[in-house]
Amino acid sequence: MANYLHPDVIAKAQALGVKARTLVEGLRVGDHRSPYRGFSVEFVQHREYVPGDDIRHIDWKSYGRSDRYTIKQYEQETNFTAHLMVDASRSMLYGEGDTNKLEYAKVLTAALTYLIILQRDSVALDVFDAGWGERLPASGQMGHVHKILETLESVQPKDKNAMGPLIHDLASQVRRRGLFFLISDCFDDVESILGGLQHLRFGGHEVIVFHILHPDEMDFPFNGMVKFDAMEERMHLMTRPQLVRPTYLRALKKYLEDLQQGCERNRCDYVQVNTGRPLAETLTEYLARRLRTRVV
Amino acid sequence: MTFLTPFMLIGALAAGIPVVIHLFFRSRYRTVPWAAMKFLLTSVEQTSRRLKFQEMLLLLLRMTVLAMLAFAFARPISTVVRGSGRGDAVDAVFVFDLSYSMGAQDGAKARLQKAKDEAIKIIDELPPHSTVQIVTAAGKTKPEVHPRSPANLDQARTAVQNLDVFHLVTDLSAGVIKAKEVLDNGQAANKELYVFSDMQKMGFDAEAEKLKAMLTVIKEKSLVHFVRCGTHNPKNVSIVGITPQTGVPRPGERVGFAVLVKNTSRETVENLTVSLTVDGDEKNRETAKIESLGKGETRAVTLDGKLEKAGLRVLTARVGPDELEADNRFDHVILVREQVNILVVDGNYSEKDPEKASSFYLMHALLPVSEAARATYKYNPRVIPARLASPMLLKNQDVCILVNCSLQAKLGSRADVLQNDFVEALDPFVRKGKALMVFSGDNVRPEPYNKVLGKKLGLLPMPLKDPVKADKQPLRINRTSFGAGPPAYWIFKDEKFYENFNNVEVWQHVELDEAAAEREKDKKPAPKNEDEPGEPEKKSKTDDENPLSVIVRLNNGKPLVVSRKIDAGEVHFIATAAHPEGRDEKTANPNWSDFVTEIAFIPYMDVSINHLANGQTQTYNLVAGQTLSWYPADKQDYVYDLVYPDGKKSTRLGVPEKIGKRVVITAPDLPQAGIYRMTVNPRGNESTGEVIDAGAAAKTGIPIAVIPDLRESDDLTSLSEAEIDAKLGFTPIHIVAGEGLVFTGADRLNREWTVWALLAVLALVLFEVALAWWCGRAW
Repeated sequence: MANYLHPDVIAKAQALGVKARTLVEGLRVGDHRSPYRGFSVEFVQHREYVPGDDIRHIDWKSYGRSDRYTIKQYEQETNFTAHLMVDASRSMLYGEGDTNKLEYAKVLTAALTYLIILQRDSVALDVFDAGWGERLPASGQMGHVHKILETLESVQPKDKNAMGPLIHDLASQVRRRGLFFLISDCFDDVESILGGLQHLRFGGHEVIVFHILHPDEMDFPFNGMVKFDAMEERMHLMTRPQLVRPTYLRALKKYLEDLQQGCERNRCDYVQVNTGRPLAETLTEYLARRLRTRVV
Repeated sequence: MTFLTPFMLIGALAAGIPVVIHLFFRSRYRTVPWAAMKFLLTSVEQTSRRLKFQEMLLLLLRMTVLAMLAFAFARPISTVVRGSGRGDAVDAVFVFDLSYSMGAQDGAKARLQKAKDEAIKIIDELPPHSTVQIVTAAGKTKPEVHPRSPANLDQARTAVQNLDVFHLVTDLSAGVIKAKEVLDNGQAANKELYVFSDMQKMGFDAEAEKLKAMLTVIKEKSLVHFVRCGTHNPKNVSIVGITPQTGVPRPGERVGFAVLVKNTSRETVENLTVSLTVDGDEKNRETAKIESLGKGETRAVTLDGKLEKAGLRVLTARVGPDELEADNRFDHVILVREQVNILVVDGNYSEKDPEKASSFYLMHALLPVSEAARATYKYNPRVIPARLASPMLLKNQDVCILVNCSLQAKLGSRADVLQNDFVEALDPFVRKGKALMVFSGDNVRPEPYNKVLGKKLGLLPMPLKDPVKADKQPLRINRTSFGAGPPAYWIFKDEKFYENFNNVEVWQHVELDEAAAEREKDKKPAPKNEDEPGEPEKKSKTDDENPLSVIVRLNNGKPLVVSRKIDAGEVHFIATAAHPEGRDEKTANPNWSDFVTEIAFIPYMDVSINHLANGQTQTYNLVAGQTLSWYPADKQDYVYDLVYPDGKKSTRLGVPEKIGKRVVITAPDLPQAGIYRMTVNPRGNESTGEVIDAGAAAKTGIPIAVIPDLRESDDLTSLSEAEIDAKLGFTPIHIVAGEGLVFTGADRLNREWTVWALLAVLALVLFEVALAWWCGRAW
């Protein structure tokens, strides 16, 4: 089994944990605030009694002081389910060694899985390309990490990316609000992707997009006469890259801006991941940012 | 445009290098699997058209740079801008028009002097190691090339200074052809042709196509300059002829000569003096004044000259002053003799009844004086019957007249037939300079005449056809037609006194085949037999002088009297009889003509004999440029030398050459006018030295008078630059001599475009670099 759990990544990320920034609906009491008030231990506020309220929640002490019926409300902490959507399309095969996008995504997925399970939350894995690949249901057991790692190891890209419809599909499948991690190079139609994300957000889920890009894709550093073989299609293009670099970079920039702005519009976290950069740095930086912006 | 190092143009193939590099790099690519194809496609779609354009532009620029570099190394030179290659040696060829119009005064200097000064300037401006060769051009003479060592510019300067005009017409073609040959042999990359001329129209009209074609070829590799050496039309009068006023000059007589003076300039010339000397006797020179001679006017000035002795006498007429000296002198050799010996051969001779003899009236016309005066009369005619005619009788005769002679016996006819040996003796008789007249008659039958006198001996001016008889009305002489014949006969047209020519009735005449004669004239004469290979060439000169002329015509347009010059002699054929030859029984009209019974016949014969007698000096009177063909009557085994008019130069003509049955001395292309002297020395005793004693030659030598070719001064019109350009079909470089417009070394530098081409290369390179930088796509 490949070692996707890099100790330095886990060590740095563990200190920060993965906290659901927004409210999640959990089955168990955990680190996360629950929107279901009334039954838990942590008092939130009073409100006036209205007919129909359970009289067991009337604060009699307050009645004795104010002669009015008030109800005590509590906030219940719940655990959450994190859905890790991992792109296993052929375009993810770009890059060599540590910079290979798929390998990078696998390490990222493994790290997130370990962290989430470690804080007693559940993790579900959904591998996709043009359709769904391996899918593991949510589980909070430590043994589930092992299963996920096995699944990741067995992933072999076969098809091109068509993630938009799949996100819609997943959004309609998951009823309970949770945390969605989308780990992909997002080489699909931006509008389609954003449509899926919007659907997820409509379902009340928190969405984090890890946009995996190779440094070559970001800088386009090629020279000379190059024949570019498309990884997801049967086509090639021969050109002098230095001649088209400016327009390539402009097109890429626009695409990234569209995607990032779309994510921000939908209140999704957008994390651009450069596979040339150590994962620990990228992940730590994101989690720190996430902590700073945590909704209390 | 031409190139000094044209082989460097091969370097233009290097323009293909960028294409090769492009294809090379295109074939050397690396393959990259690529995920973000979407953006790459977008960028290629957006930029491909622009990139292709930029790439093509850069490619073209790079190719142009390399091609331009090769162009620059090939050292282009302009054929339009004046001057030559950048400081490199030049092969310059100067073609000098040495026709005598170049001797005309043009302001303070003569045209030729201006040409010389300009040529010296050009030589001084030539870059180091240049060569100069000078080619002379005048008339049809063979061009001369000077100096022997073309690289020796001092020799070239000396050769220029030694140039002198010939008395010939302007004809640039031969010189230009020679110049091309010289240019082709030159080693320098820069070649320049300079034509120094007064741009006389004639020089461009003569051999116009040849000149144009040759200059067009020359200009492809050389710069062609036309140096105009005269800018104004000179005042010019020329002497166009000397005519004795008495028919046959005789020794001891003081004879009047009509000296014809013509104004060939465009304005009236005043205060002219005309003079005449005989044998250079300046003491007895006679002069006359002409107050004013209008534009184009010809005037006859009568001057006397005393002819002391019989023999060849040299008349020299001079006129002046004017601005063109060369045609102011006219030399003419005349033959002064006691009497003109005439042999009349009568084909219808009758001792019993002389009046019926065909020569009866003719003899009276030749001797229109009393019995006592006949011994001293200028003509000494002798009549013999045809059957007695023999070659011996032709000795010492000047003119032979055949009257109604039969050449072939006819059945039933009692007419005398000429002996074959006599007929054949007529051939050398005529060709050596004597004259033959043939009168028609009943015995003159076309077939034998055409066969013997025509085809065999070539003595017949025109082929004969059968006699033509007038019907009811006689044919008459068209008196105005004398105007188209030799000038000696013009008097019959002009003078009222000769109106009685109108009364001449011609009832019968032999028809002359003028059309056949014209056709024959157009053909180059064939050798009479195989052992006469050189004859046609010798004869062609005479043919050029239009030897065939119709002296007078009938009113039906048919020729009545025709003449033909044959070598040194001349033949006249009279198409009607010298006798009425009987009369019609009913009408009493003459069977042939009453020409001989008319008073006009006597002056006609007088003019004819004078014309033929004077014409016998034709070999002594030549026009410059003509070939001297002289037929020695004796001393055929002697060596001949020709002393030039200046007395300094002489040419060994050698022993007479035998051509066919005759011997002839030839001296080609006498270019200078004046009196040449031909000296005769026995073989083995001839002078071995180069220099002939001019003083002795002047006394004993046979005089040959050569006059300037008067066509040259007859039209002194010069062409403008535009007219020259139009005639040549391109624009040469025009320079006006003496106006300070001769180019300098700096001008010459302007012509080579190498620097400009290199600057263009630099500019292109800079542009390419800037464009590549701007495109952000340096290779």
